[in-house]
Amino acid sequence: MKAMIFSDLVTSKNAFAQLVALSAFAAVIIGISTGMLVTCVCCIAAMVPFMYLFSISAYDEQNGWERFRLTLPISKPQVAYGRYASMAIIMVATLAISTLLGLVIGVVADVLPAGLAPEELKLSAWGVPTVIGAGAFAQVVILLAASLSLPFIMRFGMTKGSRLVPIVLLVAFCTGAAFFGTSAETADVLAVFGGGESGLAAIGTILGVVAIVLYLASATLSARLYERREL
Amino acid sequence: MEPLIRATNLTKRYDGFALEDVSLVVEPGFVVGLIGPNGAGKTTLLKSILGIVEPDAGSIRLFGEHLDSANAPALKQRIGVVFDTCPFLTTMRVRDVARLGGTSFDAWDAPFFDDLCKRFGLDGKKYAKDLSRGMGMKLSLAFALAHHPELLILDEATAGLDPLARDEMLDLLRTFMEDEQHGILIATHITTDLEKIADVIACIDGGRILFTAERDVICDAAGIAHCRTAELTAIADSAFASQNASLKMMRRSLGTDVLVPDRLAFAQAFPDISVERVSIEDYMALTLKGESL
Repeated sequence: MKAMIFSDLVTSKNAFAQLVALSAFAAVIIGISTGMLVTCVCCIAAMVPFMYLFSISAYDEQNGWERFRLTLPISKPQVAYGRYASMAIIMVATLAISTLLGLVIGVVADVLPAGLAPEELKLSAWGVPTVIGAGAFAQVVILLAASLSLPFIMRFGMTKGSRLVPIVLLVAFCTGAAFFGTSAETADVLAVFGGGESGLAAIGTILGVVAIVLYLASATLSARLYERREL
Repeated sequence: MEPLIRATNLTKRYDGFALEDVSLVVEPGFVVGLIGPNGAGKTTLLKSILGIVEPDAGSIRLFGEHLDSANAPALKQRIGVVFDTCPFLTTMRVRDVARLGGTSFDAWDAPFFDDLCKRFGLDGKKYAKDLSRGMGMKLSLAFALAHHPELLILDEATAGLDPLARDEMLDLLRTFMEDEQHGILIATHITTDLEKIADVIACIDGGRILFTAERDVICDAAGIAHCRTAELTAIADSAFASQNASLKMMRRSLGTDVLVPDRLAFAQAFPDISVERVSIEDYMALTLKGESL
């Protein structure tokens, strides 16, 4: 599996740097236009791993790489688990980068003369834990999306899988909306967990645990599906 | 000693194509050439041997061990593979390929890989996308050799290379075969390469092995007789034809070519008929497309 993780990370190192740069640029623009620090952080934390997921899957189909990779001393389940592991590594790295960038933007907004930066772009308006939490929350969403997308990509490949993924995500969203409804107020949900920051932290923790469990289950499913795939 | 590869009665069915009941053996010290028309099943056979596709029936033993998903990674530590294109991603540099080898193979020999790269003129900083086809194939071969495999599996590895680059590659394969424990299975359309290095030729067509023969049986013993119509009748009525029941012939504009299994015996029986050595390509063409005499 080490070889699979290594090949993924080597493959994506240039693309990752470009993605971070592009996302950072987009985050600054979004931050300025919305005036919200947490939006910048969410933007990077979500965009980079989601784009990584699709670009690394697209590379598989280049030059017969996916077929050649199976001639290395690596089993098909190891390929699948390696892909999930590399995705997880990218997410952790992105969380660190998005947090750092959020802190830089927030501190810069704090030290600018009064009136130049929107209040909610300042770090003092949110605090460090909220900045980290915003990035983590965005990544929970991406973790859920990856959990749903990757089995299809592993089974059918990027070309066919990417046609199915939007449908799957749409169905998942509609099913969720039908089951839970769309009219729940944030405050009502928060109230169930005691309200305030502690309620928010509890919701975040539960969602995080659910996303990780789903991600692990998705990895197991992908390993089985990939084992049956013929290249 | 156990064969490096023993594929027995392999069957793999797809829509519109099936590999049927294919058996193949690669012994240590032997280079086995796999030939056949496009779509004959060569690559499917190689993929089955490498465990990339699961056969519907039959068995594969590598180095004496039955190949299954559990032991495939360990067995693949002992195999080097070269496909028809350089498989490394465009974003990989030559030195990244070396690192990949280091993380993949227990016996990866980094100095040997560097040495091969120097010999091939491969710069560690170069991206795979910037390599010419020939250089890309050299990188593939360097990667396949640098963990000191016992078995090489090559699929059209010399296709598209100029004659000099092909000869260079064949030289490397000869060096690899200096160790008698080593073996090569090479699928190719360039049969002249096989005339230079193969010991055994296996021809596959329509998913079935059509013949397996030692190269000397084809290139030294067999021959092509160039006959006129009257001579053809004489051959057909002769004891030579009755002793060699499956003589194949192919009509040409100026006569008929007959594939004979023993050209010296034929020359003795028919001293007036011109008979010459046969190339692997002509042997295959006559066997595949020739009519029975």
